[in-house]
Amino acid sequence: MDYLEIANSPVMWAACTPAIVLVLVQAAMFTKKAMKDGKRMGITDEQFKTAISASFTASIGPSIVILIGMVSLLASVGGPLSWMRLAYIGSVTFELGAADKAATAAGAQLGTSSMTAEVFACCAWVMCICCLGWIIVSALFTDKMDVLRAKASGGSPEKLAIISAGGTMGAFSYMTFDRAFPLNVQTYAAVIGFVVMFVLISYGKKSGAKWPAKWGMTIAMFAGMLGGAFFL
Amino acid sequence: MENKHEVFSKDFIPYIIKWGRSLNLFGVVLVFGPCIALAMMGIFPDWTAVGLGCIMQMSSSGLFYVIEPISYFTALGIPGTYMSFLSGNIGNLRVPCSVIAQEAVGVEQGSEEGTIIATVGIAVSIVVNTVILTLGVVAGSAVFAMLPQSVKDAFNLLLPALFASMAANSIVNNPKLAMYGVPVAGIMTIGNKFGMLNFLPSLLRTPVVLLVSVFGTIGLGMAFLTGKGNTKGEDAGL
Repeated sequence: MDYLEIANSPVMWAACTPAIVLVLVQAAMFTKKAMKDGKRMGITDEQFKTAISASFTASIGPSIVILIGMVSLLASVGGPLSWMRLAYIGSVTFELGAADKAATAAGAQLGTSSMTAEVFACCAWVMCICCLGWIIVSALFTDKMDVLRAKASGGSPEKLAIISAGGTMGAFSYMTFDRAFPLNVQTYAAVIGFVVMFVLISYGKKSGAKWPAKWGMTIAMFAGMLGGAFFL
Repeated sequence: MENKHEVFSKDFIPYIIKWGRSLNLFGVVLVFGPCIALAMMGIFPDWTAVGLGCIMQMSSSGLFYVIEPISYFTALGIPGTYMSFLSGNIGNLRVPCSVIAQEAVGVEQGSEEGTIIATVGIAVSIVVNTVILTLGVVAGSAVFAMLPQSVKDAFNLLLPALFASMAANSIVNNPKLAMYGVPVAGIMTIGNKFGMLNFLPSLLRTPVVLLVSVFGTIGLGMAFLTGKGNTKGEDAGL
């Protein structure tokens, strides 16, 4: 039997579904609790609606990118495993690398006739085992990280603000420089995205308008993509 | 009116830690669903190859198991960290949604209200992402294979634009901090590409760049921007 028949079999779909249900259940539980306690803390329905619509819009673009990355994975390890591995713990670049290394270790090559059911099983095991690190570290140490952050800030709101802002700034500056250097077509997309966002957020701060904070990233992201595409 | 801080620290956070930890640990079991299904069909891998594949993969991703949760924690908060590492796609999706939700509402990032809003923002991104992936996988690879290469190439430009827009956002909101953070990340990242970190084993270079970018920014900010009588980040114009 062709390994892709096994990879796309109903049994595989059934085996991959519980993990995705778990992600959705946790998200639903946390949202319910956050909205209930948030209201007790004085957060309004209007504010929750703003958060939901801003995040909803912002999620669409990156999700399409993940979907496009999934296509190459789909062809090599089938639908269910790709679906689960991208909606659960991993990320698109990681999973392709893991599948590729597993196939190599089993003496085959992804996407070629050297793939057998046994090689596919090797891919499944390696992809599943290798993502465990993240989930275990997050499960066991998230609360300790908070203790560490509280210690580092010494309870000062000023220091806490620097820790939060600095973490985000450092990570995104790194990711931007990493994509934009050396000069390539991604550089144009990055520069356009940067300038559009810079102008929109600066305008929002000056004028007090709320829409740039809400829609700015989505606008800048697509402007950068379309602008960069001219240089392809 | 209830005490906000009490609600957050005595009620919300303990619930999140209890369920975050137990559901993520339960997730470790569910990861093996496909492997168990294959075993039930009588299909087993060559265990030596599995071991070898894991060693190859972990030697490049192993350090990130620790470094990513630590580096992204400040942007995600406690609930966000549990949810994000259970669902994956952190830097390219969860962190931007966490930041954007907080910015849109106008709460201070990382504050108690900010953490509540980030929880909702990240949960929404999980639902959207799961729905889009599910539709995509049901539609099948055939549909996406029909997309012209130029469209796929164009979508590859979305992430650099996203990262740069998030960097611009934090620079406008924290101009003083940016005078330290941006050069640190720039020198580390570009320097690494020019071989500045070649004295380190190659596996350590990217993790070191990410760590220094994040904690260098935080450290320099703490060293130079605090203790001037400002009590609130916003007032300090960080």
